[in-house]
Amino acid sequence: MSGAAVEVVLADAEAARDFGRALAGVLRAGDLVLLTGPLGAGKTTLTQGLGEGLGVRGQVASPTFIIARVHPPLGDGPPLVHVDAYRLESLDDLEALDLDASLEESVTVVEWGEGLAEVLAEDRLEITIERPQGEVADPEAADLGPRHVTVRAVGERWAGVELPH
Amino acid sequence: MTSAPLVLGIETSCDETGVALVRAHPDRSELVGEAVASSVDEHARFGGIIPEIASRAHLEAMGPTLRRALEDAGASLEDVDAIAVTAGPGLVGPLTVGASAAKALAVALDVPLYGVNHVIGPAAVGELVHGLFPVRLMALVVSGGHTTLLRVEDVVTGVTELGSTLDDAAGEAFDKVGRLLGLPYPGGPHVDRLAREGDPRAIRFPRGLTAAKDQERHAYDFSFSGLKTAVARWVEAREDAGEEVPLADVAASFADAVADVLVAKTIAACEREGIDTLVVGGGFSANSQLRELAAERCAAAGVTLRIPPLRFCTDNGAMIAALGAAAVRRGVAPSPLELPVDSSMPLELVTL
Amino acid sequence: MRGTLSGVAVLAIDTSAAVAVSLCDDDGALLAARRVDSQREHAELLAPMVRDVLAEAGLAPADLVAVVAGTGPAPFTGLRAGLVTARMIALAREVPLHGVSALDALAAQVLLADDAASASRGAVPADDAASGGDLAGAGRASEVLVVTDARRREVYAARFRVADGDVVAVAGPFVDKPDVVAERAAGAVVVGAGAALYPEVFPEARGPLVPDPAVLARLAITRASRGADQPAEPLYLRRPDVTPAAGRKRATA
Repeated sequence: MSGAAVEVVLADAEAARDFGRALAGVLRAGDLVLLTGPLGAGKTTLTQGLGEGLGVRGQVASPTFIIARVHPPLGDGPPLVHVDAYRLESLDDLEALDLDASLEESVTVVEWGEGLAEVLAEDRLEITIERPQGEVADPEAADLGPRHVTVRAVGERWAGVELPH
Repeated sequence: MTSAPLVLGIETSCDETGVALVRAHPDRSELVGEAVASSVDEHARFGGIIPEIASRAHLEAMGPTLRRALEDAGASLEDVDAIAVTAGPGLVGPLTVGASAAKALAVALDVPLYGVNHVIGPAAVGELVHGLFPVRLMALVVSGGHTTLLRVEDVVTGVTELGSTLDDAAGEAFDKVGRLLGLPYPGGPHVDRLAREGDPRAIRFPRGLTAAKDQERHAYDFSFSGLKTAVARWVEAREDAGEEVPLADVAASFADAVADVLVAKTIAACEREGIDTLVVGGGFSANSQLRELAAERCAAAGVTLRIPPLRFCTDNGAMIAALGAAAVRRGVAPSPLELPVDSSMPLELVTL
Repeated sequence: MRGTLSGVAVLAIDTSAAVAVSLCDDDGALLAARRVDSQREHAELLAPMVRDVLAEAGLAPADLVAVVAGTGPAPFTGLRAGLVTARMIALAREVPLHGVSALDALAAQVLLADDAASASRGAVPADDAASGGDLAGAGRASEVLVVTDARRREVYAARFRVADGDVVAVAGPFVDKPDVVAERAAGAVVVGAGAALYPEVFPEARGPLVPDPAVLARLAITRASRGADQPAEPLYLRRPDVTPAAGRKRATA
């Protein structure tokens, strides 16, 4: 079922945000995006761009503390459901998160969802972000450096869909 | 003469069911009774807040907590003159339980309802401790979910959000560093405890959005993402080299960076705005380094610091009742019974 | 707005299929009712609906003598909104609170349909969505399998028969896949929105589709008069189906 894989290198946070914005252009209600990468990879940054692209309300920030946050649309588009699954062992349905939104009606982004959120949908985008590793001489530059991003499209939904690159 | 209005406050935005009664005297707000039920033990066992578990706990705790608060106040529901409830921001399921309860009470008792903003609560609770607010003050609200700087000209009608975190809340950054260091959830208190044993100057971690180039756009905003990444990379480098990670020093240096940024930016904001009173509230105001650093630098800058006692730092009904009392005292129009809950309620809206 | 005579009213709330509120007198005759077909916005809708039924009946909250809550099974957020609303009104008015399952109400709407129809003053709202279809003959069925939507391709269900003028569950309530539930259908009339959702599994299904809070109120009044304990506790039937991480995940690269 594995579809196309796209690899891109994003130079900085602004590029990550731009990529998220471009990705929003191919997303519609019912789509699931899994984001994988270590702390500081830029998962939330990419999601911020995605939120801008979708035109949803509110500052897209880390949902770690509350596990999931729903951003209602400002226009006609779908809401964005932003989930941090780090603390979860299983996630069979969004209903368990007691949200005022459904998978079918929303674009759902799950951080730390690898290995558990796949059951939510047969069709999904699996995005892996790698950041530079190890200590840096200048701590102010810890967040800088290019991100290697791999987008893997899984399922019929993505057949023939051109992903941003 | 009738006594001053009695306001019942209900808070359910996260995992604590808080109910309190505050009397809105003309010249002060008096806490007359309160009770809190927490599902935090359940969550600690599970390793985090699970919204569905929190919602179930709120439903079960609402009646008993209300009864305990009334007993504590020596009052009955017939004595209640107004009801205040957290309308947002927070978790939708838990907010729904609290709002439904508050509305049912408002209908059954035929009293006005005030839907209020959870984030302003920790600032308003100061009025129960330190007396009614001066005309202008700065409020720093720091918790697991929020890091926000507010200019308060009137706690009900004049709150301005000067800035907020662009990524992680301060408490959230602590939670994530707790993950990195292998500490149990919630990370905040564990990192805080560990930090007291370490050297805060052992490692130089970055101070987000404090550089000169950031002052134009983000003077009032916070960012802890770069700090978090710096800690991750520093720890990674030690692990990869097979060295032992000096956990206490990492925790102390990290906590120092967080407290330093929070206090430095807040005091700079006070100076820029010409404000000489600062209220620090929210769950993260329990952090020891933040308390110490804020006390020290406020004294140096001639800013009066008000940090409510620790028991008001976690979510509670008192702050919601205090905000409700402030609204009643000002004669603000009540909320409609149709009031929605709003998981991402904007901060400019104190009451709905 | 209080009636000239002191009113006596039972308030019933059900949030299992729609947001529904009804006000009955203590004989179970309907005084006023409101229903909005929404699976969301319970927190917005419920309290105004309670206010409105009281106003329509010309009664005050002080006229309530009991509150009845639908205990589900149902989507959790709305179920909790209904239960906490009922609990708080009962607490504030210091009146008894009774809980009745929505499945019981649906069973009663079929099995006790003759009673319901004969109850004076239009007990069951004459509303297509509520009555849901042809019930002819169903009133004399001996057993009924009530099936409601549990989402996630599952249904809530229970099988009932009549005993002593009340409905009694002989199986359930439980939550399961439609085809598993269908194995319990033999010899019973199948009703409910959950059955209507899966016509290939329940080809014989018929109405009613939506629980009527007035029926809920009548069941509660009958059961209370017999001294039955009717806790207003939620029928979740499912555990919170997220499991938190047991071990530690590596957070670094």
